[in-house]
Amino acid sequence: MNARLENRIRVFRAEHRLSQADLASSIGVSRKTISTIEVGRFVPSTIIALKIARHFGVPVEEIFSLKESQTEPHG
Amino acid sequence: MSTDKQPLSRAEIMDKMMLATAILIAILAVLYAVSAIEYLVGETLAAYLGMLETGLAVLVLVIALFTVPLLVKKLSLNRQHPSGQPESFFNDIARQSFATSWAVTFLAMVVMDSVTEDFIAGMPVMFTLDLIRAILLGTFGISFFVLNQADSAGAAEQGVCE
Repeated sequence: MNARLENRIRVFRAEHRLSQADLASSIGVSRKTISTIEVGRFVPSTIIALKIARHFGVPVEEIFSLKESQTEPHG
Repeated sequence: MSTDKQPLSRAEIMDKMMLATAILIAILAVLYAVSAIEYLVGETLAAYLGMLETGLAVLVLVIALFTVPLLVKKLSLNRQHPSGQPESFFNDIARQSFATSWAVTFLAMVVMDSVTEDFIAGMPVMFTLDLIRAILLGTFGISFFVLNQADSAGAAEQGVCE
């Protein structure tokens, strides 16, 4: 079973009317880093994940979650 | 969305430095490849390649002397996050690219040792060194820009989400 990190950063940004650059500046990373986290290309460290959650004032689990993908069943 | 030009954050400057470094490495790879090719061609073509080599060396110097110190200066003036280096996607793909280039270079040396042993033995030492440096730096540059490009296709949004 494989696990993939999913996130709702885009949703939270929309709710707070924030651009990627605004969010990036607030937590001290580059816009590129935020954009790649959003599309799942870059898995952020725990520190960045916690900073993003703290910025939006929610627990980290509300933004990041693991999506389990089953491997093909046998037989 | 504000139209005011904001100063670059420390993280953005670090990203630009990483990009400048990757560009420098890619140009150096071409320079070493040209240098290696010089040993394989005739004198006339080698003379042209020598000029190309000089041009590339000047380009490397221009980028290194003007771009990097400028970014370092901006970085020293920016006290936004003075402790430690911020994490970034560019750092991540640079790490992946270093690992890839190391593995590819090692494999290339094994192949050179076993398959092209006679050919390599007959060439000057500088040819082999230039070739290895070209493979090492070239693989890094290709890997870095391919990984960066793969992202650019999927994530271009900059504005405020509606």
